Amino acid sequence: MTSAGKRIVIPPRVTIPIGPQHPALKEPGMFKLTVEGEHIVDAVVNIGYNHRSIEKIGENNTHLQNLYLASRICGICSATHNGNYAQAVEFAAEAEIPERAKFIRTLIWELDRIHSHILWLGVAFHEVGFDTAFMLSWRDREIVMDMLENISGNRIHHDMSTIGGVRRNISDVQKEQMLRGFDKLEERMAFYRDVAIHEKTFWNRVDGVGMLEAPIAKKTSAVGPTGRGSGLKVDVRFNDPTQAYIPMMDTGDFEMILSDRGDVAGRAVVRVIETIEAINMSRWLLNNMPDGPIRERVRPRIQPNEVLARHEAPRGELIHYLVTNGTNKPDRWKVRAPTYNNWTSMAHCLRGDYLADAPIILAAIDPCYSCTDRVVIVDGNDETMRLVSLDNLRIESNKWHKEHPRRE
Amino acid sequence: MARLGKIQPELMKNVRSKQATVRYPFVKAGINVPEGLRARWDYKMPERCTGCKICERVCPAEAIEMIKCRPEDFQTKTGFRPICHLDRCVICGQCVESCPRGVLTLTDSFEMAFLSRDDMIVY
Repeated sequence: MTSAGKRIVIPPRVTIPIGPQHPALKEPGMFKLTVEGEHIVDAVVNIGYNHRSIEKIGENNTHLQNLYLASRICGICSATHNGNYAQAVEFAAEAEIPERAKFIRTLIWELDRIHSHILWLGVAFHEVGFDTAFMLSWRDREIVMDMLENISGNRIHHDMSTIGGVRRNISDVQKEQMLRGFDKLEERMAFYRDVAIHEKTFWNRVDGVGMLEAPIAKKTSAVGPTGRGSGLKVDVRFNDPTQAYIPMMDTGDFEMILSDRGDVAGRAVVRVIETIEAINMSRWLLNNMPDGPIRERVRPRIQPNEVLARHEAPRGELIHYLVTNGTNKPDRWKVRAPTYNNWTSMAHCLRGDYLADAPIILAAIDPCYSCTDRVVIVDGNDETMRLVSLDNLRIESNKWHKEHPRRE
Repeated sequence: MARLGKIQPELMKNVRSKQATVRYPFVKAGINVPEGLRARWDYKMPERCTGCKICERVCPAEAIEMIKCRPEDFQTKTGFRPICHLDRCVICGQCVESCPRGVLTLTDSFEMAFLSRDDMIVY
């Protein structure tokens, strides 16, 4: 008979379902975490609760209508989807837009990045139980939200880009207001950088948590701050610049923010410093904005073409793939949102960590489910719901297209 | 010796500072309503409308419907006028931009909660 002190107790393996309501961001995503005691030994990520068939709706809309539909793919990064779709249509039409329009579009993208990163920072503070900093950072986020509302007329759905340019101009008064706002915002962001790095309430919860080593990040094709937090040089703004990023990168004043830590702390530091860099970029854009028209007329019928538009959204590389067919509607429109890429790295990050750290690890990729989700079919008549595999979906879609041939 | 963290001095400063939020439904002063806010749709200049249906065609949310002019309305050239279903409207402002005669506008009245869908039709 062994004594109680010497007995080795192997805790049973228990699978804990978390979700479909996400513990971090109140969005639908399901995680099955297998735990041994407090340690996570395995994680299965399951998504697909919120399919909205936006691409299919888009195929029946005109390009102009799709701009607003694209904007509503995601609430937080609406300007990136809206601008990137406009950019894709312009590539397809081989139209050149005025210089000032390029600068304003890029400015909106950078403002969007600032507010998205501050939002994430607040959520991260909240996830580790540091609600004071969460409240303060969201209060200061209002500065950039007010700027966006001031120039676009809406807080969330800015809808600034249109095919051939932008919809509103920036006046000199607005420029002065924004420059003053940037000074205040920069001061506040320097404070939050210090809070994130030096305040132990936050740092001790994220230091060494959710490790994602560079080779694995590369293998799982992590993008955006998730990849850059592991030391991967992935940033479309620097690697493949478009719009006003081209003259901006030519100055050489800006650099890609990288961290080789690979944990949640690395991703947090990348995001905070990137916000300060985005403020500097916005200031450069405002100060160097050329005069001139803001819009070029593009014919609504877009010539047959196949294009891929890339853009660095706040969460990573966003891709809009567009096939046009000579009419004013797209033949095929495919959106690959950055969260979809970062999913695969999530299971690796969770393994080996504590269960209590799961919310902050899940929040660390800044997930945005609605951009990501795929297919569930809900039948309104008999109120049934079923998940559909890719193969079955393909068979059904082939059948549908056979029954509904496209009008030439 | 225990030192103050980064956040404590900020907290002390905030004790005496002004409230950051507005008690909105009770107090309306202090709400930031910028010039050019996109909010409730309005049929501003009916006398200029020709009933050309461009606004209905460009609307991405199918919120604008063309109805036959009622007796009390201004009679347009084609006999049709737009109405807006606010429950479907996404307030993008494309109708305002596409209207060749500047008939439509988005006002800055942002309070758009109603008890029934019938109240949400803007004539």
